[in-house]
Amino acid sequence: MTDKLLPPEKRTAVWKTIDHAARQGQFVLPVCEQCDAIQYPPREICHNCLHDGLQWQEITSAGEIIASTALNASTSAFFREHLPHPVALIKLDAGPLVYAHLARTELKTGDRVELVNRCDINGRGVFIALSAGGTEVIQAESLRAMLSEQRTN
Amino acid sequence: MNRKPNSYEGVALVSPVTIDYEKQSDKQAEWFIGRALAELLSDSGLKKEDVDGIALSSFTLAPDSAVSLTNYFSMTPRWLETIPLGGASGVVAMRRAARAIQAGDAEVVACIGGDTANAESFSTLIDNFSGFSSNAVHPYGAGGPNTVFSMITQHYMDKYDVKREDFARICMSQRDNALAASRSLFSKPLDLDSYLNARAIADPIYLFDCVMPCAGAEAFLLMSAERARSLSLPYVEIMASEELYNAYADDDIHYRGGWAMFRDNMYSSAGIGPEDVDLLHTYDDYPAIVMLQMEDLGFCEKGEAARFVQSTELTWNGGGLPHNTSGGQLSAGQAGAAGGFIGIVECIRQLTGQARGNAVENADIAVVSGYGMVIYDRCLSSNAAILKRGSA
Repeated sequence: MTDKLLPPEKRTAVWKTIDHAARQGQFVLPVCEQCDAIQYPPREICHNCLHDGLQWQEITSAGEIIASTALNASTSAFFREHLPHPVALIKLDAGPLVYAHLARTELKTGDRVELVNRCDINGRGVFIALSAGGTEVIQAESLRAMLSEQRTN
Repeated sequence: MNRKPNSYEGVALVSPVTIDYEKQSDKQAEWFIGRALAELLSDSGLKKEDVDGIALSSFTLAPDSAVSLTNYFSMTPRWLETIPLGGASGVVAMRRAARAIQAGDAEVVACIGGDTANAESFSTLIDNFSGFSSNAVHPYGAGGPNTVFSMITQHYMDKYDVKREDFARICMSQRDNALAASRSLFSKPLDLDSYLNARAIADPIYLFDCVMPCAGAEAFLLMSAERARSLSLPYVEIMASEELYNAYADDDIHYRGGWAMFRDNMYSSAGIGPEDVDLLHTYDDYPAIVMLQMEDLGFCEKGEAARFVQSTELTWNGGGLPHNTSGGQLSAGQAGAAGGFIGIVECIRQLTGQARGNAVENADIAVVSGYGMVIYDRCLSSNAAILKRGSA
């Protein structure tokens, strides 16, 4: 146990696969085996054809920023220590709309980005948007704090 | 969309009730709901036994619900509805109750939205608002609805060349309205400098673009118009109303709502157009969403709301289009689910000559709209109603 503040960690069971994939450095989402629709947020029934056979697959994580903000208020004590925190809504080329942390506050609407699935300090998979190419250093201080010192459980 | 609902003829809305808002309260949700119920009876002259239907919306009543209240208040209604639709709840409560009256399932329905508020209740609510939001939005900075609506607002500003000064017109006029209605948690007018220089919450959303969470209740009664007349209660009738869910689901980001899909039907059912409307009460969780409603409900062209609010007086006595004359949630406060009822209650007040210090002159027809439930990246419920002063 630690007194250190932690980012939110509560997730429903269907997200565990994303946590696991984060440890392998993979970006995965459920795909319908009947109609090929990609699902996000993850779910157990296909949003399109209502089939219950969804398979987790690696998805091309390139996309474009639809809109972004720097949060200056948060209900989480962890994030309150690290404001402002940059987040964005990203339209993946594969279709889904995904909220993600921004690696740099300079990333703006219309920018091409690549999402990576990283383990946060709680061991949860979180999506981070990097400039297309995906090799840049994560500059947002809040993000560095939430990715450091990963717990092992 | 061409399918129209049957007429709401013969149904009356009476007894607009507001239980004064409090920034925080030690009292339970039941207190605010119970006070609203007592005020409904006192205003209408009815007995508790006369109320045989209850439609209720509350976030902080959980784990209890409408059925719990029948025990708490020793009532035996024969019709009961719990409406978990946030800012869309008031219009939905009205629609469900109206059908119950028409079908004879109930004779008098109490429609109540009420909530308490304390230090934890707001963050608990928004952190756990839906499965999708708590899993796929909350981990990204825990910004609550500000995360989602900052992006919707930014996109709307970019797409239609909207400035913060345009949002200020809405926020400042609502403050004036709230002060006239003497029911605000705020005591001072809002000037442009204060609006523009407020602290950033999630750019482009600043402090006065956000509602103030509080405790309180809003309520009204539904009954037949005949019953209202026999009780000599001033009443309002429903000329038309529509609701729609998950409209424009293929839009990458929210810039239009279900109102645009059903408004032609709604005005045609009512036999009027937006130009005949004397006052408008939109659901004002954020000023950009107010603009969406002004456009999608036909008060101006799509993308023109910024110019519309600059050229139109929005105050109760400005002679333009009186808008959110109660002060709305932006200036009266957001008392949880009561925020979904504040518009209808204010419209009943205005159309029945019961306004308090903010009476719109010659108000005969009002449009009230609802919007609620941000499940992931936008609210999924949109609705509206056209109300008119009941004929004596």
